[in-house]
Amino acid sequence: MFAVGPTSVSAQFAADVSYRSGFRTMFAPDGRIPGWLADGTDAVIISYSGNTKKLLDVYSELKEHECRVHCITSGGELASLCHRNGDHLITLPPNFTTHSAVGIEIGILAGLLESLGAPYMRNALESALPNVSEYRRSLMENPSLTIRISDRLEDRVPSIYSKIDVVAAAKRWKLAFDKNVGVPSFYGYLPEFDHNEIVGWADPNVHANSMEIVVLRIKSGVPEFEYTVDSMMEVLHENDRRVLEIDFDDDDMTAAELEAMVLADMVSEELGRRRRPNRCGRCP
Amino acid sequence: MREMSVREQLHGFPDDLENALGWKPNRCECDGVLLCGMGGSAISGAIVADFYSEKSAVPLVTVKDYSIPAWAGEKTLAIVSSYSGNTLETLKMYESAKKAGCRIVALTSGGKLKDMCERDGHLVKPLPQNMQPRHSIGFMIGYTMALLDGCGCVCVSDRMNAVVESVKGFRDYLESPEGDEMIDRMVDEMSGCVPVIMASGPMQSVAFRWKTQINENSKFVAFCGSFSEYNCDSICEWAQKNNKNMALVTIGAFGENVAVNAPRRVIVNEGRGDLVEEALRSLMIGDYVSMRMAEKRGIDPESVIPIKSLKKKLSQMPDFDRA
Repeated sequence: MFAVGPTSVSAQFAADVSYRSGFRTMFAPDGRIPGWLADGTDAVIISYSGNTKKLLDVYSELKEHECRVHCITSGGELASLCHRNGDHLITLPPNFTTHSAVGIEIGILAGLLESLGAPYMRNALESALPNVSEYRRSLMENPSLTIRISDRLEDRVPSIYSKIDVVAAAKRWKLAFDKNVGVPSFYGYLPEFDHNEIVGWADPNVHANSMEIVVLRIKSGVPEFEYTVDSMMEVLHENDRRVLEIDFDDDDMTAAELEAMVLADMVSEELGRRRRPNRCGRCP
Repeated sequence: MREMSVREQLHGFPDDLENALGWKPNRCECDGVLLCGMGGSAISGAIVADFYSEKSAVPLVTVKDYSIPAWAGEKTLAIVSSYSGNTLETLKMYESAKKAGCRIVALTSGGKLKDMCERDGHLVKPLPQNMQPRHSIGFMIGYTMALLDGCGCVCVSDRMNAVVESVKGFRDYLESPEGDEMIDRMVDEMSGCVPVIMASGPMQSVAFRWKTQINENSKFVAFCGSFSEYNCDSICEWAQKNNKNMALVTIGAFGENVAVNAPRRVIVNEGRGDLVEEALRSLMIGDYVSMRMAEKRGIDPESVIPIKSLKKKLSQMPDFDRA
């Protein structure tokens, strides 16, 4: 799978689900073509506009490798190339942004992977979606969580972390902040944080005081990991570093990963409204 | 045997790499390679995967978790790296690889990983004692490349061997007064700022190495990312308008065009030379910069007290397997 920018969240999400499921699905986040691609490999390019130069270059390279190319796009040059060369084209609806199209891209990707013999993502989504819809409804009816998190992150530079196999959630937070709030933000993954980053964060270096660590606690089912994160929090608190911990109670990791994305959109929209009150935003 | 100083370990990097590339493991076939490790022991896998994924006949996948991907099986080669041999996550990855029936090779100086491998009949390539895990990278990169050569998925050692002499020359430059001055300039540019290190393509693992060395040696918060992920516009915007307390560090191609007006900007290289050589040079610059940042702050680069505190807490962890 090939995608860059906000669209890459959908491919990263598929890679996260596949990591847990047993199907070998690879995501190349920066458009580099792996050497092992062979004649007949199924390759998926996701580009909402269809005009991302990096992905047009990827398309050409995939054709040279004689891969079976599947494109998910709303149009642009990528769609024209697919038409011209007879590749599999799945057309996204118009009038979305690259950011807001991620949901529909995830759904389409699930269907495509199923048609290629890998039903894991559709199955995971079918189980998860009722919970995600309920979570969104509860956030919209009761915005207290959104408000509380927004109050905490206002005028801060967040660095968002999640476990590595749900990292699409942390990435969505980063990209939602970029787009909706207009402040820089960063993301990373656990437990790697504990092996290097924690040393920097535990130091009282004052130039980092405008930053806030955000930990998305999605239940992993790995008790050693949960214990390690609890211990990590203690070390950071002992060193006076602010950490915002956001718990997701869902036992279904796929649902919780999506719920974290929904919350990212809600919080970033709220903060965007506060920074630019006259801005016309889309409902997440 | 006394532990070498960090300076000595940095100095030894190209020599360690050259020595390790001389290893000739037995050949084996595989349909994918997992490069398993955490922290300083993981960076070698990330660098090798970055350099050679575009040439390898099989997927090279870095894994930094408690288990390996569910799709791994008997034809998968798992290279499990832990300098100490006692890293919790790495031991769990070893168990997971063993359960999946993977072929396993461990790179370690000892600890439980060595014991488990020997018990289970898997190959152990010993690492020298008395090093900081993050500075055994020369050995780890070299041994990992030798293993990839041996499994026939990509022939990489020759390319690396071809640049080692030049890298040694660059090391000597870094330790000369002129090199010292260059390092000083970079450190001064980042003074009082959070370094944000950006790279493209295979340089991303080098950016990650910069970040982790600044985290651990200099005790600084730092971030890294790729140009494609942190698109140029957003980098420009924050660097110019929002954040004078951040310094943008660019490694590799595209760097010169990004955020030209950033208040603080360090160009490490511009991606115009041999990729592998540029990557190793950039990696070494990052190591020396992180050392100098520590020296200027008057702190000990070797000390990683928060990690020790965390490990102390983790030593109280219940045995969940038995619970």
